[in-house]
Amino acid sequence: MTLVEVAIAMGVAGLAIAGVVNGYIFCTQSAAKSALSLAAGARAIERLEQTRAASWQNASSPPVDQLVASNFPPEVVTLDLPASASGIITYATNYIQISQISTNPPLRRIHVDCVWSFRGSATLITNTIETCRAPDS
Amino acid sequence: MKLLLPFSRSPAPQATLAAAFTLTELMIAMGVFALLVIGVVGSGVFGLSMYQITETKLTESAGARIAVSKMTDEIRTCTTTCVGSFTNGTFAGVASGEVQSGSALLLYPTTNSSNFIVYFFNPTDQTFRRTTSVPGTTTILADSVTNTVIFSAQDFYGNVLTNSQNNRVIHACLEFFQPQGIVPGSGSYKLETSATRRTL
Repeated sequence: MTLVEVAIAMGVAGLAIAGVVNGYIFCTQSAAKSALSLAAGARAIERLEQTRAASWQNASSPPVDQLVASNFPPEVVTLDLPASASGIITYATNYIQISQISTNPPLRRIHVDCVWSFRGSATLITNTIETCRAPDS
Repeated sequence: MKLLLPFSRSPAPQATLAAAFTLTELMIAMGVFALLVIGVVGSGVFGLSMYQITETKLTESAGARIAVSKMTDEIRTCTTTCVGSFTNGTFAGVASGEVQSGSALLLYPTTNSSNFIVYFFNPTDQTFRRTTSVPGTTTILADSVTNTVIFSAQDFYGNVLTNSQNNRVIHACLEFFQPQGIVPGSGSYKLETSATRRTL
C-alpha cells in the first residue's frame, strides 16, 4: 500500500465521517426549527387570547370597543425553547390585523402573524393564526 | 496463448521473503486505523450529543405543550377563574386589590362551586400538578419546575391585574430545568401560554 493510497483512503473516510456529522447537524437544526415554529404558533395564540379579553360591547351604553388594532401594537416576544449552552434566544414579533367582516351580525376578523427568523437568518418565517369574533354577549 | 503470471518478474525465493510486513508498515497501518476509529467514535459521540439536544427540545416542547393544552381548554370553557396558592389541599385566592399572581389556579367548570379544578405548583418535589374536587385525582403534569409564581391574571395589554375583573387573560409561565448528560451546561426551558374564558 503506497502513501497515495493511504491518503486517498483517509480522504474517503474523512468524507464519510463529515457526511455523518453533517447529517447529525442537519437533524438537530431541523428539530430546533420545528420546535421554534411550534413556539411561534403558541405565541401567536397567546396574542389572540389577549384580543379575546378586549371588551367589545355593542349593546351597552355607551358602547365599549377595545377590539381595535391600535390597542394591539407589534409586540416583541421570545420564543420559548430549551436554551442551549450558548444561550441563544430567538425573538419574534407579533403583528395583529383586525378588520370588520360583517356589521349585521357584527363580526370581526382577527389575524395574528408571528414573524421570526432562524438563528439570525435573513429569511423570515411567519406563523399565522386567524379567528373571528363577535361582541361580548 | 501466453499467460501473465503474478510475480513473473521476480524470482520465486525472493517473493516468499517479502511476504511479511515491516515494523514501520505495521505502525503506519495501526496509526491510520486509529485515526479512523477516532473519527468514527468522535462522530458517534457527537451524534449522541446532538440526539440529546434534540430530545430535550422536542420532548420538553411537545410534553409540556400537551400538559398545558388541557389546562388551556379548561380555562376557555370554565365559568370562574381564581389565582392564588394551594397548600395542604386548601386553595387560598389572592384578594382583590392585590397583585393577581400566584402558584395555583382554581377553575370552576360550572356554576356549581363544589365542582372545581386546581392547577398548582408543589414545591416539595418541584412538580406542576392538577387536581379536582374528586378525591384521588391528583396528577403530575410536569416535573423539574423551578419557578413558584406560575399564574397571573392580566388585562388585554398584558399588565398584571390587581382586581378581579371579568375579562382577564390567565397567563401561565412554567420554567423547567433538565440536567443534561454529555452536553456541557444545563438545559433550561420556559413555556408560556395564555388563555381567556370564552363566556365573558
